[in-house]
Amino acid sequence: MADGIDLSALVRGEKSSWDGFVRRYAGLLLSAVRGVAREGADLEDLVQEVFTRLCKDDFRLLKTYDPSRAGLSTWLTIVARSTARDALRRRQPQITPLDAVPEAVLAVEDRHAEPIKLPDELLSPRQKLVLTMLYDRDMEVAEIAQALGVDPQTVRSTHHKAMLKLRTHFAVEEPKQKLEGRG
Amino acid sequence: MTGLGDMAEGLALWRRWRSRAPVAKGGIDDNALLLAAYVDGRLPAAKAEAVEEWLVDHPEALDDVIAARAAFAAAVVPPPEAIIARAQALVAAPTGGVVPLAAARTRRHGWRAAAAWSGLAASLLVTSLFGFALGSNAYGDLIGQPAAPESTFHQLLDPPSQLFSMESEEPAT
Repeated sequence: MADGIDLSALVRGEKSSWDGFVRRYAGLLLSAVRGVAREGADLEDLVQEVFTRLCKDDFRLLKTYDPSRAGLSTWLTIVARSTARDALRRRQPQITPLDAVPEAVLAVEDRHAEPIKLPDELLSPRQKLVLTMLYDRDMEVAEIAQALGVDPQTVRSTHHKAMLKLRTHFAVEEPKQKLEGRG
Repeated sequence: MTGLGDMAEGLALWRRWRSRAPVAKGGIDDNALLLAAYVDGRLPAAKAEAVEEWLVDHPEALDDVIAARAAFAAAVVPPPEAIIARAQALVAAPTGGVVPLAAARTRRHGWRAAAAWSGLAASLLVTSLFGFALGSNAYGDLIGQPAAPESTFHQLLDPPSQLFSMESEEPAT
């Protein structure tokens, strides 16, 4: 069972289970694909794509779901978004607006300065993620906190520690570069 | 954004780091179940860190994680019935077989069809025999020949005319 759904009956293809599953999660899938769809996209078709993917090949994808690892609603949201993106790509080539591209991708490397070798562990994964959301996506602290499932104060603290590390590292490296440049 | 200090400095430091930091290599598969487990907070710390490392360089997956977390708090709007009906039709009743997208028409065979055809044949046979019997009597009357001794079959289909004969009446007193 997951979220009150009899998964074994569902993947056996029992009509009543499937109908109940659709009625219960159609709204969730609609919200999920709406977040992916571009203007003018047919949301009904995208939802149908998701349900089709879930039941095709004798419910192959549904059978991969393991309730002990994650919640059904969470898993369905991620599957729905992924399926909707794939469907939209098949229909038309994706054109990414320039503003949507992270600055780091567009950054021009400074060829005059020797690239600084950064220790792999300079920033923790959590710190990198917070800085990505804050600076690449312009997200608010509250939004980041919700996305990571932590307190807003934790986000601020993570940001502060990351900044300390970066300041310290670049402050140490810059004098070294200047010395090497003279030498 | 309060409590974050100098945002301009932070942005500059972050861009400088990103321009030189290596992109996370390999890492996790694009696995919905793993991402869902991360969103639900069910991964051990080391595994969660690996997912976060990977998410930094995979913006679509990060979007999915953000959306999945936001879905926890969002109210689900009931979808149109048309969406529900269309999706429910993907699985047929009563055997539950998934309706193929391009279903080929197949003839249904079996005992039901055989019984139907048998019934039809039987009714045609009975009708034919009945019609033949009536026709035989009519022909006999036409040519003045005494009717052949009636068989049980004839008696069943064409009851004896004496049923309504005046001869059977009691003479009037």
